[in-house]
Amino acid sequence: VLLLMVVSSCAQPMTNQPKYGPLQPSSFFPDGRSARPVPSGTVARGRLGDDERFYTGKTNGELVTTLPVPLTRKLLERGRERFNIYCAPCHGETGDGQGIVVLRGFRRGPPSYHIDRLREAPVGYFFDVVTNGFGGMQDYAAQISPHDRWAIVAYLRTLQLSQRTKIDDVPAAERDRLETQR
Amino acid sequence: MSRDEPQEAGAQNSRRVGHELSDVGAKYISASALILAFAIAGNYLIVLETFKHFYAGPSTPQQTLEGAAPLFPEPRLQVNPRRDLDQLKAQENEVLTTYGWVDRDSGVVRIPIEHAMDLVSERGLPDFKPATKGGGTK
Repeated sequence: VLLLMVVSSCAQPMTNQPKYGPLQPSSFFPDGRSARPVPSGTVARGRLGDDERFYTGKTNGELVTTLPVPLTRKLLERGRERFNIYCAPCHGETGDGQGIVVLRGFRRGPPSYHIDRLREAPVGYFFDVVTNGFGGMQDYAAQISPHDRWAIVAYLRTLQLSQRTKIDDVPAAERDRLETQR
Repeated sequence: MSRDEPQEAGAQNSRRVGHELSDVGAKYISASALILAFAIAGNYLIVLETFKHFYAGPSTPQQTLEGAAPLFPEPRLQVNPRRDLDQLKAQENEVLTTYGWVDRDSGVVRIPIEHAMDLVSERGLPDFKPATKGGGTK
């Protein structure tokens, strides 16, 4: 019995298994490759991106004018945090386009967010610029998730409001102080 | 004769040793000194004339400073980067936390960002399409 066990264990080395090594040719498949290509239309889990509004900021090629995510105070807080991390170095925390990078000599600096063209731009425009870049600005698709991009867009709109709004939005006490000030 | 004897003995002695028997002539020494003096004076004149020829005049302190510090374009070297950033942050913070006039005649103001976030949370995103015309805040 011992002899039988010793002899049989040598007969089937575990290294000789019926499997393919990396990039090993195959006679089984017609194209001769053992490594099979991914079937067309395959999408990685969580990467479907079927909501065009949410993932591109557009519907049928038109820039969207409303947020595709619910607008909450939490979203704005998140947007402020992300904005100050990713955008403020060039755009400035006030959005005037005078961030520290621009002040230190970046020649193709961004415009202020508070010019009419950008105040009147739809929210989808900002999402598109963050996603695909614009002019001297690279795209931030890899750095900022789509949801965070919308948070930034929402905060950006808030920033535009804060820097240029009607006197009616000022509380009465502050309004009196402003009126006396020249 | 009595005076020449020791001299003669000295001369013989010198000859035996290999010393010279006479002094150098005074006219050669004085001629050399004269040539040297003329050469020094001549060189002095040459240097003086060369200097006069190439000298541009006295330099004023203004010229000295301009030569030492050529005007580089902005931005200059940061002496204290931390302070620069702190200054910028302080300015931005001032703008983002206070009320102030942007355009008094048209009643346009800026409000603190916190207040704006409250307003937006209540009313939703502002739509600036029918916004008043005019330049930006800055």
